Amino acid sequence: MTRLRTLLLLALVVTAGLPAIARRATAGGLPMRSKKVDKAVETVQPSVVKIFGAKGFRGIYGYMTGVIVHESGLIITRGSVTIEETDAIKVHLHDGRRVTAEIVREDRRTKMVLMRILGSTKAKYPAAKLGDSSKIEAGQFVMLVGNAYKVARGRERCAVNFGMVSAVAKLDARLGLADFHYSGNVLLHDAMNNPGVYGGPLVNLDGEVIGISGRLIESRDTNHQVHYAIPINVLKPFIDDTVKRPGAPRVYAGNLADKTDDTAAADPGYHGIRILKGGVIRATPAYVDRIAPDSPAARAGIRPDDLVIRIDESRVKSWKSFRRIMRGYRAGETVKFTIKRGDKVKLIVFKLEKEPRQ
Amino acid sequence: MKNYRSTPFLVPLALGLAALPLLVAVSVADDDSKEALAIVRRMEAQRIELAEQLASSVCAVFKGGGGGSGVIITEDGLVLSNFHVTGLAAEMRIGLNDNRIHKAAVLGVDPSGDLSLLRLKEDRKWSYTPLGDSDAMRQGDWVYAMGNPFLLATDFTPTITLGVVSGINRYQPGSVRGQLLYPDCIQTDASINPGNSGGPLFNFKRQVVGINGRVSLRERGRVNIGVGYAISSNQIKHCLPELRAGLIVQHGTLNATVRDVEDAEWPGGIRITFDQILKPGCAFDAGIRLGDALVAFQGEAIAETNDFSRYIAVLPKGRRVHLRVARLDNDNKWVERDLLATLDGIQLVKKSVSSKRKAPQAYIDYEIDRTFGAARKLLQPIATETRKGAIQVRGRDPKPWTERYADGKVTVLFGDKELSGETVADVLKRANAWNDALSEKGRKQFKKVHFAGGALLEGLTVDRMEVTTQADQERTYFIDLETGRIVRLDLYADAWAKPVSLYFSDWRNAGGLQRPYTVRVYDAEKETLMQTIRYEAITK
Amino acid sequence: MTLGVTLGMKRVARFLSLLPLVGLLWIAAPESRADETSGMDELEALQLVVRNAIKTIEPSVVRIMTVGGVRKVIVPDEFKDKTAAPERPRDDDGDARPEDDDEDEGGDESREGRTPRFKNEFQKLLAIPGFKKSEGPTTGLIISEDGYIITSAWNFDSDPQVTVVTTSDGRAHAAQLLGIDRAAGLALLKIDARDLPLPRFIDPNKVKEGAWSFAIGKALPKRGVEIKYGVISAKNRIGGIALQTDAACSPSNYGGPLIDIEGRVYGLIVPLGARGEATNPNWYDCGIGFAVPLPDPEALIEKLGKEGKQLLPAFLGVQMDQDRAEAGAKITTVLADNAAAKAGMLKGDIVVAINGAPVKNAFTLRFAIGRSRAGDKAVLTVKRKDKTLDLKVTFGKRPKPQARKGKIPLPARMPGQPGKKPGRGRK
Repeated sequence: MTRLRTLLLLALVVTAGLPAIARRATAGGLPMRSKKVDKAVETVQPSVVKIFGAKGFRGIYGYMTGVIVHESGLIITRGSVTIEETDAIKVHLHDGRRVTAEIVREDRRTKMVLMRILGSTKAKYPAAKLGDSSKIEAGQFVMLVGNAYKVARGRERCAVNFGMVSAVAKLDARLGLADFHYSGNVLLHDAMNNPGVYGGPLVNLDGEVIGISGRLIESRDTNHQVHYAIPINVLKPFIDDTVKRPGAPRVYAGNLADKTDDTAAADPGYHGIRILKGGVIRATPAYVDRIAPDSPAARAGIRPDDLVIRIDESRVKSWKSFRRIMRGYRAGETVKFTIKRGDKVKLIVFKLEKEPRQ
Repeated sequence: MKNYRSTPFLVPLALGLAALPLLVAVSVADDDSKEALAIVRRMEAQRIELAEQLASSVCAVFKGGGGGSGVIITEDGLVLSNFHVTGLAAEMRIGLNDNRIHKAAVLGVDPSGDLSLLRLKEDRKWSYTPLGDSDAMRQGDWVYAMGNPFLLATDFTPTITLGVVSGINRYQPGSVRGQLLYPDCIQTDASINPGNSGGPLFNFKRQVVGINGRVSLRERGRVNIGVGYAISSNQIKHCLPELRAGLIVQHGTLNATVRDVEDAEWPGGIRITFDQILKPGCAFDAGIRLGDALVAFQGEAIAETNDFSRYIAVLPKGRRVHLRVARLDNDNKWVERDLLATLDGIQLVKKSVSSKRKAPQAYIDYEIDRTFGAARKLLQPIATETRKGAIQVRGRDPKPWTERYADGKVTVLFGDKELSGETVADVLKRANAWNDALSEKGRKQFKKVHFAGGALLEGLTVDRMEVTTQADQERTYFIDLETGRIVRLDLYADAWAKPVSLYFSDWRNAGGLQRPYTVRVYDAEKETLMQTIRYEAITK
Repeated sequence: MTLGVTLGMKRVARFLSLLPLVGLLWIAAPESRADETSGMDELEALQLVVRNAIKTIEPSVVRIMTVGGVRKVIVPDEFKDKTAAPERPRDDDGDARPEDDDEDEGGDESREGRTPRFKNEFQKLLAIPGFKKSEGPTTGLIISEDGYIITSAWNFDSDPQVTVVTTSDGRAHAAQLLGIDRAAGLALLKIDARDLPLPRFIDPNKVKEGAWSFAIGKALPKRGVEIKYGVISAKNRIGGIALQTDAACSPSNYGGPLIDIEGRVYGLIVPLGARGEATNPNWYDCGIGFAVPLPDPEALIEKLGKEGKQLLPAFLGVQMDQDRAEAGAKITTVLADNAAAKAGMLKGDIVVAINGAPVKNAFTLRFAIGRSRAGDKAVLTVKRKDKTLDLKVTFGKRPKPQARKGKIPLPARMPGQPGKKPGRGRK
């Protein structure tokens, strides 16, 4: 009996240790590739297309990447004058087939457009798997697929760049000389966006499209170029609505119902602060000069000589920044000021009102 | 049953079973993170080790006050770099990660394809990384780029950057008159900056799959933006014989252009059509005319015009290539036919060839010795009388004859009679005389040897050695350096009173030595097959 | 018969009682479990690990904002002679042209992406992203519980009036600028706080090329941090003071930590170029970034803890034989009136150790000097003929470095590239 027990215990120990031994034996050379990355590339490439429009000029490119988002041949890409003002947009599919397409819908807020492949209505095209961008976190690996500098034609594949999601955040940015048009959260990454890649997919390790690449923009805060993609969840209603309503109007209004864009309707927000105008020294910070009596700012406790450093999350570089930022606020909105008084930093939150009648 | 005292056994049983789920729950959560960290640490350690091994073969190449990068690809010290790093200089200073400077001589250069081949002067074993197969790379594969961007390596330790393959077989047109043509690149997002030029792109199998040389740039300056291009190792392999021979490489052209014509009846809806043919020119000489469609090149189907540009420009001038073209016949049907063409060379810009510099002959001789040495290793000199057996030959002559080897000599017998006079056997006898030629004396056995570059035979890139024997016979050996096999031998055959090309194949071990069992005899000028000779072993 | 059955049952029962033991052992043996569930792909594992690393480092990362000061423009070398002092570009009327944050209208979509016409090349440069030097937010790292923060000197060139630090909990603090390390491009700040979370640091000697390294920044995201991936590209760059990484480094993470997969800090990301000069927009996100290790944060606080304190690069005043094959750094020239001369070093001396650490070759010594600062004291062990001497050295200040005039052969720009003609670009 004791012998049996001993034998059983011995067998136990060996069985527990075997897998460890086995694993050490198999841990050999480095693999050339990640199986997940390889599979993700194979999964997404059939739905990635190369788009060629009119000739580009001065910073606007006449070529870009697109993603087939519905099997009927609906392609999403980043809008541009080179395709909006063209009769027949040329599209090269993954297998080398050349087709033409026309734009059917535009989303002004994200600047993305949907185009339909012309031809037989019964034709089926390989559509991409769309992921869930709400689950994305910083540190997640992604691939950016796109035809950088139109190196690829026909059945040559769009380039794959690898990186990670740096952050999911709102951006205060410039696109050329204009303000960056999108105020929601974007997916920031380090997979190197480039001309030609605009409109291409940002893909996760499962081969799902989690974002569509926008153009290269420049952060107002840091003056450096930022790589971003619009999260796919933001575009899903745009896509779904277009699929469901083939005859819908060209401009998609769904996203404009968002409060953050509805600037036309409400009254501008009034605070009652007069900022000291600069001009003597360049880049004068935003010091409070006067506070109108009984104004929202007065009631909130803001005083003359306070230095306004931040308005919500935006940095206030100068009196002109202050003016520009406050222009975006409407009556009734709550705003958070970060101010410096003496050597203390204070946070003051108050609600903006309608401009009082003179 | 009442005798069975169950309690002592049931208690531990019960406790153990109760504890199990608790332990499982606790350990699973913790284990995921621990497991993940263990996996990551393990692979990171392997990557670090790989980087360390690779880094010892990476060169910082210095020219004047500036420079670029390079990589050692053979144990005896061959180094690859870009032409735009070395230019036509005769000698370069190379820094390695032993923190020391070593001198290297420049052998051959490829101004169009942007390559330079150098040889480290010191005679010793070097840490090296061999060339791999660039076509086996896939999008998403890991790569290391190593080199000396911005000359940061004050102590010559290379800068290591990690990325993936963004694309393969990328065709990049040349800038000025075919210069800096990058017909077959690996596109990568590994950081490549000025100074990385000439340096290696490594895969994780410890091979060089590209030489970094080019980047796409944006307005702000000449720095990496995630789009870098490396000359593919497969392109480099095509040009290696010329580079080792100290020649200036010219890239191939058909002296014709094609464009894609939409035609629903063709695969992909595109017909690649010849729309410009220069006369005289390689395509014209091969019989191609305007309107002909290109179907395949060297057996590979052509689907895009970029394919065409790439396949041809990757090869050096003088390579003999197979083309399949189609022409509309009178019934409006496409009729295909096969053609052979010898590639013309893209004209080099005068400046590239203006230098009177020639690669030092000593280094070229070293390469010749290397090639003949490989062949000699394979075909040992004829064995002594201890060798067993003989080989019977069947040829055009109705009677079979036998070759016998003894005392270091070949005797050819018809039946029992020794053969004399000019016959096929004589040809072979002379061909077998290769064994004499590949003696220990090597190239010194011959009166003159000229390393003429390379050739493309049956998909294999081989060295071409033009030899004048002591008896003033002209021969050309086509030897595959890697295996040492003589793939072809051109010589003048009295038997047919004409130059013949002998193709050797079906290599087998015959009584202790490697020899081809099939010899195809071609009319060298007409390129027609005259005879196939097959050997079979007979035992005595 | 009954006895046999009983004995059999006992055996079975005994065997069964061992099962829980088996189960416990199986779960407890981590290696065996790892094997059965490892279908986990390396990148999936890395994502999980990175997420934990972010959580580890985030509490110690701060955002730094400066307000006011003289606005500066980075003037590239080729324009230094041609333009006057950097100013806002002017119109024909002599009025300053409006800059973007002065626009009274909002964004003008029709002008999106179009480059305006400029009168001269310099003005054109200002339109290119980054040439206006950023005074925007940067990143910093907490190195003491009571509020010492280390960051890069990036924003402090313009003498800002106000510095505000935002910690990971969203609270803003006024900060005082103390000392600046000019050699490494670091600045020390102090805020008034308590019980701040501290990061963990890696021993710089344990760093290996090829290891994962992630650049952490807080300039852009309002909450949390931003992360960029890369590897350690090289050690001992910029004269020995910095690790090199290919993670994207730019104003979005200057001053932030470079971390390993467990969230421990390799060093602080600094905006320095190859020869220790201040960086320019050409370097942003180009895959070449530098991080300065912080092996002794407490010593750093001591050295830089006074307002106005500056640390300068060390200078020994020797030339060395770089081609020497044997161990040690052979001194070929001793420059008069400098630190080495004052310590009694002679031409021909072979330096075999510095502060006890062995000197492998001239580079080892050079890098050790690079890591030192003017005023630091060191002991150099020297072999002179057959004697071994210990020379006590006090490093002097490094004279202005001469620009290296090397031409780095650059590949030709590709045909059809925006902004420039095809053909070989300027070197």
